[in-house]
Amino acid sequence: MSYLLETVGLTRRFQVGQGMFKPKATLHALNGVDLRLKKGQVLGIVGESGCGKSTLAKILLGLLAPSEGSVLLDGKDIGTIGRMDFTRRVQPVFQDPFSSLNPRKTIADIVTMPLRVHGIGTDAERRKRAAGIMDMVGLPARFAERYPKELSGGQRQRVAIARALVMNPDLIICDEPTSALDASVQSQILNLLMDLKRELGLTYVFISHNLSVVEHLVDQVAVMYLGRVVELGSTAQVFDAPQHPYTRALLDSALTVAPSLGVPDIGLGTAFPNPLAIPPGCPFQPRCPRAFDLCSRVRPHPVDVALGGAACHLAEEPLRGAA
Amino acid sequence: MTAITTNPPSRAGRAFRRLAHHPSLLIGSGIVLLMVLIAIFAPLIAPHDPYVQDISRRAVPPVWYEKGTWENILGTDQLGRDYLSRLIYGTRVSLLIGFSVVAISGLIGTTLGLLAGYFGGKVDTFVTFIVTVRLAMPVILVALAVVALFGGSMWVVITVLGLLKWDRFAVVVRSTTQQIRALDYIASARTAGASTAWILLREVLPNIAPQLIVIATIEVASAILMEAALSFLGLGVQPPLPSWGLMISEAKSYMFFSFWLIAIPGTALATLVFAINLAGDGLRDMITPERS
Repeated sequence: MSYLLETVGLTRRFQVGQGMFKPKATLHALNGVDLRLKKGQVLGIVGESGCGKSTLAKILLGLLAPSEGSVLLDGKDIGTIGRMDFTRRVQPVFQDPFSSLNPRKTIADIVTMPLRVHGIGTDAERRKRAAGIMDMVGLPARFAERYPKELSGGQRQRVAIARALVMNPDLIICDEPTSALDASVQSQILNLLMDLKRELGLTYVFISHNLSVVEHLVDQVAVMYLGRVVELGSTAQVFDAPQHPYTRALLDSALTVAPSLGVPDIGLGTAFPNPLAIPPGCPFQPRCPRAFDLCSRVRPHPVDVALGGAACHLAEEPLRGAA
Repeated sequence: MTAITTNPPSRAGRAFRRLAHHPSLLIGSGIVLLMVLIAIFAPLIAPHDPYVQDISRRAVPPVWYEKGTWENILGTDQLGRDYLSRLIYGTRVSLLIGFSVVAISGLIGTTLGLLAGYFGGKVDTFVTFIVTVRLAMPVILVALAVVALFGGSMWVVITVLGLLKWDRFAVVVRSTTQQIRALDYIASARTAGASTAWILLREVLPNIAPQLIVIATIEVASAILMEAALSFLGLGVQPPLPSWGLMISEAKSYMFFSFWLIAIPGTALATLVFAINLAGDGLRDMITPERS
């Protein structure tokens, strides 16, 4: 079985200064992340702020080098793929369309920028290609000579998608592509992304903290907590039968439509995990409503990337008991 | 029936319309343009040779005085040289020095600022250090030492000021670049495979252009004034080359008898500096898309 994208033991550490006279601390933004993604599939990555989602996105885009481990594209380490070949195949859609478009360039300039960087085509050919892509993402041709400030958030995100598609990439890394947009525009952009995936045979890594978005778009879900994958599985498995208490808490935290119910209590408390001081045993144990004595001593086995499942003693306990 | 055109105006058309809404830019750039033309066509415009002395016609007052003549509209200086002609030729020196100094200092300061702001870390520490070193050097004293070593001339003035006055460019470009570097359009250019040079020149530089224009106009004006100051102290442009600062310097001992000898080049200097600042303000407003 070959995978378009594979990460093996991906680890990224940062040295963090804590003030002038304190020694620098090491922050593990990612800690042994294994993921696999087949061509044409969508992998969702969910987790709260600070769980390493954005670091993962940066490494997958080649913007940041991993401290350990590797990213494989079609089985080849992306460090060995030339930068130009890599950038032609993997493209991003960032979160904030107000900062991802250069305010001093016209829309046509922004969309054709990757082509100019790669020296593809003549000026006229590039403009023709840009016009085709703009039509595909639902941008009127008259926008070509406009500047980003003249466009709405949703239109800007369409421009960012057009720029990502202009070189016919295989893989798109979507880093919270709708969280900066109005609720009414979010679904339009998501539908557009899904239509494009079908038409162009794209593969997505879809990073989000919005579970309802993930549930409808994604084939496989990886739940991250403090730089580790704590649960991995098909969307149906993870959403219908979550195994990890953290996944359960995340699913319970999704707001309901009825406003009278208020913000749900998910039983995690308000303490925010400190990524500089990860507790021994299970990293989730201090917040876990179902923790028992084993959890504070022994770290659960990491998720098996081939089988899926959860990195939790509760999930593996039946197997242990049988042995 | 009247046809209503709905076509969006062309880029040039839009720029022109915005220009019309900025009287300060029109007036400022108009005066600067006029001075540039005067400087270029000085030999055609000047009524007399600015170097020819006429001892019999020394310190003739301008035409509006009782003793003034149309022969020398702005009078003559203490050596009998036509003051209008010297003023016209002096435009060349002021503009040449102003723009050459900023061309050199802008290149140095922008390059250092871009590198420090984009790379950060050790590069930033190094650039910040040499900015501090530069700020510790008094320009006039350094100019004095250089003139003592190499002798005074216009090119020495340009080189000294150009190599010293880049600090403001470096500081402003550095901090602006730091802000821009963190934005996603820089990340987008990187994920498109763009080289560092491409990112700095095509993504960052256009976005710091408004700041660059403002500093450049301040620096042109400041360089012109500094040349005048250096020439006044006898460290800058050397006689008989006509420079406005030198004209003021040469006239200082006649100040109480022939007031116009100082007032005329002083007015020219003030007008040019004012016009450059006016044009810079207007230009910044016009090219900043968020403001139009």
